[in-house]
Amino acid sequence: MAVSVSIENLTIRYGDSTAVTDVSFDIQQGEFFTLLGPSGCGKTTILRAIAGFIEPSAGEIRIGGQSMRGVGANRRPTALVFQSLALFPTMSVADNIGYGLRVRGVGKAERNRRVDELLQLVALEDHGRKGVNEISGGQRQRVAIARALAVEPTVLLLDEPLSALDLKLRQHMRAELRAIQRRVGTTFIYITHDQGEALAMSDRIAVMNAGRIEQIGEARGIYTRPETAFVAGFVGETNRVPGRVLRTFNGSAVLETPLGNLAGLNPAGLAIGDKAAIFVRPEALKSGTGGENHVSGQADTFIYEGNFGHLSFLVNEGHALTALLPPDTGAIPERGQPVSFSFGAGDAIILAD
Amino acid sequence: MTPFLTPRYLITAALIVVLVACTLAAARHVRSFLRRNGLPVGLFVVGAVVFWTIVLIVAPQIFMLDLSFRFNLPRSQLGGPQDVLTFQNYRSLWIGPDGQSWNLLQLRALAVTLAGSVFVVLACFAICYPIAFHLAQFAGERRLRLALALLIVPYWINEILRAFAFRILFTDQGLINRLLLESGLISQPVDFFNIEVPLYTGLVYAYLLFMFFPLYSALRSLPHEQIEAARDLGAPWWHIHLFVVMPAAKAGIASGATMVFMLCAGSLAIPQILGGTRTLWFTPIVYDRFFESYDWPQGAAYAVMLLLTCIVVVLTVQRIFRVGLRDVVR
Repeated sequence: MAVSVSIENLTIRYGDSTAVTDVSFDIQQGEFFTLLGPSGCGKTTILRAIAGFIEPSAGEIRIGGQSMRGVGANRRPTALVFQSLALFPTMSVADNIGYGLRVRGVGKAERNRRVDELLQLVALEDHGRKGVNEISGGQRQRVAIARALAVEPTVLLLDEPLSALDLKLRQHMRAELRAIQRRVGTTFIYITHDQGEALAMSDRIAVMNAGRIEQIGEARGIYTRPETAFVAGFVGETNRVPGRVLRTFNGSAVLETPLGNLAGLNPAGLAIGDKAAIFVRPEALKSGTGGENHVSGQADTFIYEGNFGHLSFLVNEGHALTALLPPDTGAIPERGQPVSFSFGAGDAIILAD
Repeated sequence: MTPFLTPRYLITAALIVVLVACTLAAARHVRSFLRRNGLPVGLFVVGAVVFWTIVLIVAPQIFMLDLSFRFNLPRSQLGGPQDVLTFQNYRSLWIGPDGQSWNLLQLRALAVTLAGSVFVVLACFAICYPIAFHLAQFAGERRLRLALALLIVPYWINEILRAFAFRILFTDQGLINRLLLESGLISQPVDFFNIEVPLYTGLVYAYLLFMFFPLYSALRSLPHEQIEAARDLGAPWWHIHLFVVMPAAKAGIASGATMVFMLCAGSLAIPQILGGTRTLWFTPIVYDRFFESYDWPQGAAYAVMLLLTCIVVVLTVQRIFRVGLRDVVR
């Protein structure tokens, strides 16, 4: 596969503050690539730099092998779907979608044909003549995507386009977006702070924090094999217990913690005496004593979420852990009742803290 | 004919009937308005609005309309057998005193006034649009406040004083001529008044802010991302302005243009102070009917015609650009 977008040592400064620090990554042709991070982590800055609205302070952005230095936003092979959508309220749905083609001097007949195709792609065949304020939020969303796709960009940039929708519609649009991306085969760069969205849609995810990339990988890898404490804590729910490395062996380690000695994987190769934390997902905590690590305490609160429930329990010194209880769990422990869980050393990860 | 059946009284009576009918039709709203705001406040607001519309706006226009259909009679003959309705005042606008030839001078003055006002509107727009766009979309808080102050402060000086200041600037010995002479660009002072430079400069300057503020507030409400979206889709800057920004600011443009056009066509002081000897403007002609030849009915007829022509022009232009009255007052 060919590289579609290549970012090399990108640094972006605003006055004294640095929004993006020395970021590098390559995105493959046709990939659904997500930049995931908390607000203010620099992900939107990177997207706007790719679109051409921000000039990098240092580093290089290449699209299809071509350097974008000095190329204006209106001459880049990118199209941006704005968080606010930024549809033109004075134009109809069809005119919005056809705007990029009109700018390029595409004739009326050809333009209409392309607009009809795109309306079909986003399932809005009957809405072309309507005003953009006469259609629903989800439909406006699709108009914004069709408008961006109309100019046949090499890369489609999406800036949290689903954040304004309600939960049901958002989940529906995730699937819809992924389906549209498969159909058109364009490279998508997607920005979100919602890890659920990122895990559900992306081929690869880059997790960002404070202007740097923490980890790049496929959704499963990011979730099961986080490489930094930030990624472990930000993506998905997790239990974190801080401590100090006591022993290391064969890619694993034992951590001395307030909850006792706990064993886990040691991918970063931490040495004895290093400050670290052990991370274990709630679903890895199993009732009983099956795994290598044992934790017991008193049940605290139980949160019922339909298909499963979260039980948090207090181990010694008030340290709280959360376990995921599957729906076939029998009686839910009462508050204050003693509970004990265990987890395998292979399900826990020890990372520098 | 009893004096009570004269058209003037009939019109007044009809006006009262219409007013009463309107009040009755709006009675429900008026009552709920009074209930919500309490009787003293409610009565004051309703009374003030009625006084404003009827006494200050509608009634003077009606009396002027009535006056325009009358002969210019001495006081003793008012209400007498000679006091009948006539179109003569309107006819004298386009037919000369001999009753045969066209009154070309007055018609030309009217045409020049309308065309000149259109030119002033265009000039105001050309000056205000870039400034308003920049301030509305790009300027920071401090620069914005400074720019607005610079725009407004000159208008604290009286309009007439500003016009005279302009006059001084443009005379043979004025600053502009002297600068041009000194720099060697001209060898003889330019008679600016003869080519109406001071007139149009003065008119544009006088009504600039009436274009600026509606334009600024319309452009201010345009989300910046719309401009970025158009750019991102490949639009060059002129395309963005023509097809994204201006349509979005259409209401503001229409509102500013209407205001400048109306004020400009009705401007009296500036053409009188800054006009040259050959300058034709319609309002001084109206003024002369009232205060030079003391023919109030004819002056009234001319004023009514000016108003009507302006309204027709404004409505036609609004029709062409598909803006409704509703947009203009928004």
